[in-house]
Amino acid sequence: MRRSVAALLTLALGAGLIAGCGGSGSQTPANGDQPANVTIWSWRPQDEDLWKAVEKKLQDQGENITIEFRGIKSTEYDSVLQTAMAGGQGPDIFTTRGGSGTGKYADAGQILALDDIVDLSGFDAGTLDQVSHNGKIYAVPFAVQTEEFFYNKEIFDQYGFEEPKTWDDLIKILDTLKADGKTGIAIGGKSGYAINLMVDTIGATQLGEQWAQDVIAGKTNFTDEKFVQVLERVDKLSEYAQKDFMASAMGDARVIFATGDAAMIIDGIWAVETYYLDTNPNIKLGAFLAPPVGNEKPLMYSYVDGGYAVNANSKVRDAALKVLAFTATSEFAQMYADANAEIPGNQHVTFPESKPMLQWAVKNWKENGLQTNFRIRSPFDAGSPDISTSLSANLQGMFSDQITPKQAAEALQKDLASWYPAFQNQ
Amino acid sequence: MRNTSKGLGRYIHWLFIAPALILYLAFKIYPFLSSIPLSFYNWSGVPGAPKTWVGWDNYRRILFQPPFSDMFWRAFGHNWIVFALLLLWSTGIGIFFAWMLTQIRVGVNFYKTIIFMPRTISIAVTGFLWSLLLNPQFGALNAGLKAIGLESLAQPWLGDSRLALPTIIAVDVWHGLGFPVLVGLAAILGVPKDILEAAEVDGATRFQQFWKITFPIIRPNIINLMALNFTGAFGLFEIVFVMQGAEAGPFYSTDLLGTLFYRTAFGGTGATSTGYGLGAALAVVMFLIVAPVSVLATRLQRRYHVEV
Repeated sequence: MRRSVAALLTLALGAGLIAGCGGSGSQTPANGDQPANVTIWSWRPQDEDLWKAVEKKLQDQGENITIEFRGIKSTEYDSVLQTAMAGGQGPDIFTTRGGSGTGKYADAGQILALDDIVDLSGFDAGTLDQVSHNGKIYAVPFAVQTEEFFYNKEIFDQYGFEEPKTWDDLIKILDTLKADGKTGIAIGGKSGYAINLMVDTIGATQLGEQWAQDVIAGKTNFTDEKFVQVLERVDKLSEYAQKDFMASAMGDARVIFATGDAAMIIDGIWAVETYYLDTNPNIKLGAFLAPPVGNEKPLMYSYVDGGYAVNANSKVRDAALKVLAFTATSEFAQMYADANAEIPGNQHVTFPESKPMLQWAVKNWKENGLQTNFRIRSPFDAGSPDISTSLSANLQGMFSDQITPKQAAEALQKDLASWYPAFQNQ
Repeated sequence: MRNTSKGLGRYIHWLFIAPALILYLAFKIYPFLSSIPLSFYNWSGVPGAPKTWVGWDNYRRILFQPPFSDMFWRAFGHNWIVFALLLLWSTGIGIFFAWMLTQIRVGVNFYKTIIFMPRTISIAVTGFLWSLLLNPQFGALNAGLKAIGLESLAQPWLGDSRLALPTIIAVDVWHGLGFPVLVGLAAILGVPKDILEAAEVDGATRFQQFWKITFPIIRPNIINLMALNFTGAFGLFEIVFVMQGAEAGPFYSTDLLGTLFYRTAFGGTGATSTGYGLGAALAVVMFLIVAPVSVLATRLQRRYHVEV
């Protein structure tokens, strides 16, 4: 008898412990006066204020909705989200990455198709394509990101530099700065994602549209001479970076650039407002596309950053769809553009005079955009090892002279050929 | 006092270990066991996504088929380097400090406090703070070296493939040194004073006293620490993840089985591809490496136990 009491106690204690460890669901069903609480997760912690503004807008329109936003560090976002989804604790709305990042949740039936539910007339077909899967649209694209060279106008003026028209012009500028003891270009060598941007930016111009299509089709591959030359030029730029750049994270490189200690940086348009102007509101910025070696047309690497998707298992689905419908409006796009100086997914926005970098980026994106992505948001993202992980590691090996640009290209090709179908028959 | 009751008494120890046991079963044993079947499937980890039976294929890819086998064996080698560094720096320095604490008369509590203090900071905060201290542009370490004229010693600590791993392990040891010192101190204080005094009367030096008397008596504790170094080395993940990210750079130079597991299961640099099946297979292999050593260590500990 006493034995069974002990056993019962043990069981009760254990059950209590386990129950105590369970998640506490924050979702409240939309009924009565209780507001529907929509949880939103994103890899963009900088959007916190934007979502507060959205909440206010919706409440002003008479919606009984509250928004609970959680920003998660970009490099940890995917694993946090996936673990939460697997445990049934996912948010009602979350950002999905363009391309296969959206596709894998759509494929698993974890997010709702939006075709007949949300008005997406403000978006162009190419943008929607990157958040579509099997002919259906699964997310509202929130931003198009562009990659480019940024430069400090004051430093360029001081030396009388013009924006470089050819690769040789660029190297001359860098040589002049180096001879004067100045850092020509800030590089965040410790941040893999950041050094990959150098390959995108230089590759867009020097590889071009046809090459990008060919590599995806498997007609050429990353050991191609053209790609090796791009890596050689990226390697060349590293000679002009700040001292010990391999130990600098991209955040450090951005500070070095924003405070005028480096003349240039290769970065994404999202960095302008969030990092440079935040660090130094007085910096005079300019931007240019990677200059051609021969007579190629300078092109811009751009991609759909991601979209907002609705969890198919959301307990507040109606409210979540209302929030999502708002994100598809030009009103939201304008709020997004104003807050971030980034190109929103919806085309019907005006870009303010006070944000010249954004105007420049939009113009180039429309006129000189590379249409086929060969690195980020490309089909090479969809397997493992993916192009971003492999490329960044091999670039680091190249920067530290452990491997040559050619060996880096070969190592990348070997990683991708282990799973990418079009490379397997080569 | 012997417990002679036949009913409750014989089983009451289960009640006392129940809280820990249940947590251990629920959060260690159950997830591990459930990852074994998973290791035979190809599955992205997204709930609802298709699971395909692939048999031993995941194990074959990890152990024998590039590129994963290359990454696996490189990371495996790094784990051994970490183990060697932990033996030297954590157990070696830890025991040395513990012994020093028994030899000095002034400031024992002060030194104990500063040695143990880093352990009260979480490992994530430790990694973050040291990343700041080691920063090549703004960091205090290189600035300090410069200030005292040792500029030649200033290094790109976390950006150099040869230095990054030892640097991270040094931070990890700095954080955890309190534990081996505490274990060593308790063991050394447990060495009977009369034996040491007798040796001193017979003219043994302090070093001889340590080497001939203290060391053999505390050997089981040292073996215990070494076993913990081994499981620590092969389970190491957080500090590398905090300081270098899942990519474990530069150029995979800080890649360990733990970070390789993370990248494999959850995706790498902002990657969209994930592989829970392959990750599970890697976790099983890691378990098979660590478990036998733990068993062996327990046996060695018993063998070297000295009755005093």
